[in-house]
Amino acid sequence: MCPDVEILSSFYDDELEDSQKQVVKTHVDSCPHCQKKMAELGLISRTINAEEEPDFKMAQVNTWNKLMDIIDQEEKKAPKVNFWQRRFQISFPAAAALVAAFIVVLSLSVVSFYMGKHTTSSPTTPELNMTDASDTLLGDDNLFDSSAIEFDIPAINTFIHAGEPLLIKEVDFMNGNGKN
Amino acid sequence: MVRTDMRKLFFVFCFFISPLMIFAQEGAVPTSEAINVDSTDSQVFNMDIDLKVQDGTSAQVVSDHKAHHQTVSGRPVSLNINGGNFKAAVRFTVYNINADNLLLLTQSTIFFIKDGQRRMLSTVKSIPIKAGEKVLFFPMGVLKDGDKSNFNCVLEMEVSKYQPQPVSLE
Repeated sequence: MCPDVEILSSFYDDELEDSQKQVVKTHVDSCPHCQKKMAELGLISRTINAEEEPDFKMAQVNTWNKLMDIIDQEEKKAPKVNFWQRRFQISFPAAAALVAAFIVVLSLSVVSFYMGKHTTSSPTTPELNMTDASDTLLGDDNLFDSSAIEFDIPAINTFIHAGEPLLIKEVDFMNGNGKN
Repeated sequence: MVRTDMRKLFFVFCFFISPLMIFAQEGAVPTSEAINVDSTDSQVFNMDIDLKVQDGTSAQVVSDHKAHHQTVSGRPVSLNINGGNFKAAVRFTVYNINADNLLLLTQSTIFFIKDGQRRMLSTVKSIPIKAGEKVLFFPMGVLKDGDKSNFNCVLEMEVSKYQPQPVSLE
């Protein structure tokens, strides 16, 4: 009498005790039917082992490693860009503002340079009314140019204000045009 | 390659233009030392100034001060007169109208005492002249007949064109 499939499966997996294993082995060696069952069990076992699920984490690691290798290779292939060849990206409003500021500064510089070159250092008449003049000493030193030619008249102290300053040609003065 | 060169040119341009912008604010009025006299002969003038104090009665000159100055058209020559009881700051400016005619502009600020009070008088006067013509300027005015016991202060001035000295080849 042949053993059932469960005992044969246990025998195939080497899970039986030694006494049972010996009995089953003796039977299988002499029974073609049980040998066929054992062959089927072996086929099933090999199929299951062949379809075993791969290690997913290992697959992930392998995938990332391959990706990193690809990236490294691409970086090595890419040409190095130096400072002069580097491309700068700037938005249009910022670029327009920079250009406008540059033009304004340049224009102001040119205008100020031009005006500074074509204006003479005209002497400014000091703004001093009579009230202020009466409060000052006789001749505020700040109103006199320190680099001017100095004339010191001996202290005769008899000059009087005879009228407005007069500017006249000597010829006309001699002809009596400027005399009172 | 072209773009790289343009960038280099742009940086070089910015490098050289930036100091120009900074120093553009500096006064560009040339100093007397910076004037190239040789290239502006027709604009250079000699000013002979003679300050005289005359007796109001005898017209005798009791004090005489001379000064010589060179200037260019439009650049004033400043004088300070310390006259005891008055002080005057006078600026003479010569403008070259054409080859023969000049314009002499006189700006004066005078401090004096009248009726026991200190006064200030500021005037601007101009007169067309020719080179070599003598001009008189009375900062305190001309004495009237009743003030003959006082003194006249007069600036005699002669403006002549600058004559470059001949270069000796010896």
